[in-house]
Amino acid sequence: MADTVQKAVSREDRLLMWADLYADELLRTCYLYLGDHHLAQDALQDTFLKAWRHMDLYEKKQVQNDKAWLCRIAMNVCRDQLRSPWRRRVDRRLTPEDLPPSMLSCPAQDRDLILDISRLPVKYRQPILLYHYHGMTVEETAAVLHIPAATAYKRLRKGRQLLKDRLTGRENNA
Amino acid sequence: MPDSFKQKTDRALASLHLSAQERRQLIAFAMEEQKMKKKMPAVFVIALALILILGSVTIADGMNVFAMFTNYDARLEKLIYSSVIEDPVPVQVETDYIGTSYVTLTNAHFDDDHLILGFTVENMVAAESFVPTEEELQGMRPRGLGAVCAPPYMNEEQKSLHDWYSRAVEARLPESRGVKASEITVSFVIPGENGEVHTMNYRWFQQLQEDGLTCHLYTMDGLKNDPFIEQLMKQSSITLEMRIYESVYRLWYDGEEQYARWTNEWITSVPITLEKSYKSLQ
Repeated sequence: MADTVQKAVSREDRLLMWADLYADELLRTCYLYLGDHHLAQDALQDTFLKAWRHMDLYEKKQVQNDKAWLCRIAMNVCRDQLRSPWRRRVDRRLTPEDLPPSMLSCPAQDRDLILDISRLPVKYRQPILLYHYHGMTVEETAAVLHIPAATAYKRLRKGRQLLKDRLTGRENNA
Repeated sequence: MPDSFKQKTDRALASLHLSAQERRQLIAFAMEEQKMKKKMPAVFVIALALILILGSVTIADGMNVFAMFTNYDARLEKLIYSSVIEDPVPVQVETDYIGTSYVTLTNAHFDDDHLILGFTVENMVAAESFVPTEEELQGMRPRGLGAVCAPPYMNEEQKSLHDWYSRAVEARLPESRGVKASEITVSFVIPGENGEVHTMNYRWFQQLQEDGLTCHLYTMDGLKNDPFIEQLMKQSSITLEMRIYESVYRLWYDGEEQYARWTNEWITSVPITLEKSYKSLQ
């Protein structure tokens, strides 16, 4: 999939192309960040709204990696969602009917991975998603998160360790 | 070959997928740009010189600033006391639903390591019971019944509405109930280059008071992992924007499903300039 879109494309076509290419991945990223698919849909809408609003900035900066740019917006939106007055109003008690249907029928290890990611502290979850799910480099991950590359690397390492510990814990209890 | 992280994740979340029509709707929504409702008249522009109060506490009438914060932190207490503004200027905002509200910047402090901002909102919430029209319901999204979307409240009457709605959803009562509520919310952003804005990373504290005042405090103490923020903290002054929003919640429970819509309308912005304090805190 192309990471760059020719600048000659109209803004509307560019946004449409981004939706076709990245909407599902961004929706899943927002879900893993927020843990609620209704909020994830809200976050996805806000992400595209902000992307549209900042299109002139995108063009001025001659952004090379569209997906990284969109991921940055999505992560900021999710972060703001977690702190928003709306979020404070929602009394979250996760029940099985709140899980995406595909999680109820997928292999147990896939479901466990999703739940483990959701339980990671946000600062470790972010680089894990960017690096392992979106296939970014450490430098790209650091740029999206506005942190030094060394910090991104440390958080990736720590996040992986936490996921591994949870997997090991399950295997020992099995 | 074992499945990759991405393959496993996509398989588990396969049902989180947008159809072509949903993607078109997503774009159509995005192109309805949200514009600031109105610009603030010049009289409300605030330029603050740093006021550092050492060895004494200035407390606004009727407010013991520190006692309002529920998360006690001795170190932060000192910072909060030293950041109180002597003559705060309320910013008046008008909304159709709430009426007249006042947002007042009560605390401001900027030094090499800390940026602290505190404010109060008077007449923050309005709420009433609500039955959506067909058109309104079309614009509301089903939320499921696992999470109760509770309306905000500031007084007993509003809390009764909050409890009345929440009880119906929690107990899955076979009757319909709805609440429409509006809330004044505030955030602080730092304008960057080229029209960017940088939302502050912060810790916040909130205390609701019976007379309708609520106090929030933002602090960036210990949260400087962002190179942009690190650079900012080295400057001799900092320019921010206090953005005031009206958040409107429409909640409807029809006996079987919960529907909700939340909108956030940007009412106005107030520019704030803080000069750095070079005095150490005792």
